[in-house]
Amino acid sequence: MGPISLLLAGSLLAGPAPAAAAAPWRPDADEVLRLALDKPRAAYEGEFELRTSSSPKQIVRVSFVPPGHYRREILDASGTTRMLVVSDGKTEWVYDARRAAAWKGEPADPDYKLLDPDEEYGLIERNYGLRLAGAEAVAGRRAAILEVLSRRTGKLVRRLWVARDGLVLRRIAYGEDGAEASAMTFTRVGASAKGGDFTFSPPAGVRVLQSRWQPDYMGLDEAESASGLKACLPSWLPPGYVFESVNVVPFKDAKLIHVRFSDGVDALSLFEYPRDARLRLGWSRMGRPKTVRVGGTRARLGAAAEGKVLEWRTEEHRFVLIGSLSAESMRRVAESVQEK
Amino acid sequence: MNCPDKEALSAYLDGETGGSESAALAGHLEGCGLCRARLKTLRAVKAAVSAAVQAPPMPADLRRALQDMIPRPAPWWRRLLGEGAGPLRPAAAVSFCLAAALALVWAARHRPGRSSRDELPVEMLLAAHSQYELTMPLAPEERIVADLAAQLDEETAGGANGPY
Repeated sequence: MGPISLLLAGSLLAGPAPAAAAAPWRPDADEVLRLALDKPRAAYEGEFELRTSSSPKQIVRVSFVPPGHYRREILDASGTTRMLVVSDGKTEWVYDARRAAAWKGEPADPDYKLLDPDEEYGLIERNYGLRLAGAEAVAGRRAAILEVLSRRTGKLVRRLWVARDGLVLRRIAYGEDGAEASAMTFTRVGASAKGGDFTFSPPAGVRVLQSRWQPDYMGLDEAESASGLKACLPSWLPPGYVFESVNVVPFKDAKLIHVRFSDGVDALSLFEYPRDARLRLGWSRMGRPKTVRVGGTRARLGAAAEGKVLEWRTEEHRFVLIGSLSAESMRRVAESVQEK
Repeated sequence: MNCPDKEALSAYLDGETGGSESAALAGHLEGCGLCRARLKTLRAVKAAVSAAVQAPPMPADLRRALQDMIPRPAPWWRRLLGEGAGPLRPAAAVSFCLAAALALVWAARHRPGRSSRDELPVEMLLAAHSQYELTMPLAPEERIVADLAAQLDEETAGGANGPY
């Protein structure tokens, strides 16, 4: 599954934008969440703005036709397409004109996930509270505002503006400190993208790279067999988190195991690779990490927009834990990792 | 007890001597600085060699050189005349250190598959984490779109075939 196909999994939750029905819409919070989680049902096209705490505003032009046809153009400041992500439902291309490179792979298929949609919904319900916070117009369409709060911390983690047909017109993700971490807002949205171009042919001179290596969602046995490594799991997880799946990430001559945990909204990743793989974690773009202790050993803790990063090693393995947990919880998870 | 030979010391070091022999050797080592030094050198060489367990065999000339550096017991007549270990101590100490250092350097240089350490960009792991997070129902997809260019940089440079 390509990276963009995965990110599309979120936005394609919503269906098209049929004309609003005349009858008043008075949903409850559960209904709004269900609508937002549903798979897209009809075509749409439009433009949305992206903002994150670590990058300038970007504009994305998007069109979608079910089943699984999508096209996203990430525009630069002049309105020229900087990157293109396109799928005809069978093949996904990510094209970067500046690098003269195109990645070809399979589009997202959330059906491969080990947690099915009902289980994910159940996780959200168990770990997060929902409340409606009124209604508002976004890109000319009426939307119910849904707030998602962590039951663990009481903090707001997401705010969604959901149209009656389920299209998420605006979404804000909040960080641990309560500040806005990222936001997506449609500035224009229309009901039809029929006739859109969902194919791609690499221009001459463009490098074509395969974007798939291994299945994205594996059970432990499958990942151990694919990597030749024994997956080491933590015996302690923060309340609400469950094991979801494993992936194998190749890097040069080494293979890393990526164990994923989920609480329905946030993910926790544990990467493991042999200590003798002679790989040194490069922190260059993240600044200097803090030195902390994990058990009796020295570890490093850094912070990125995606969450905290904790790196430590044992006699046989190196581990990297990434998640949006407190430093103390990160340490507790790390200390509970059991080597086989 | 006379000074034990190299084989006996080596067996003692490896725990291969019997109880009475071990006790006799231990007693001798307590009173013989030279043998303690020989034992120390042997231990260092063994440690260095075991660090290179899967390394190719140590070249014969280096092995001989290392063995030559292990001080031998002085001849009986020299000990008898009281010219034992005393004058040898500084030279022995230098030999021990040199032998151990040589063995360690050799072992380190001959470790199998030795290469300079590769850098695993933390961004690659963050990208894998984000990509998984994006499969979740309320994922902030904007984060990965915003950082896509940087992630492609890492993935291209990192030796992977691209996004995964």
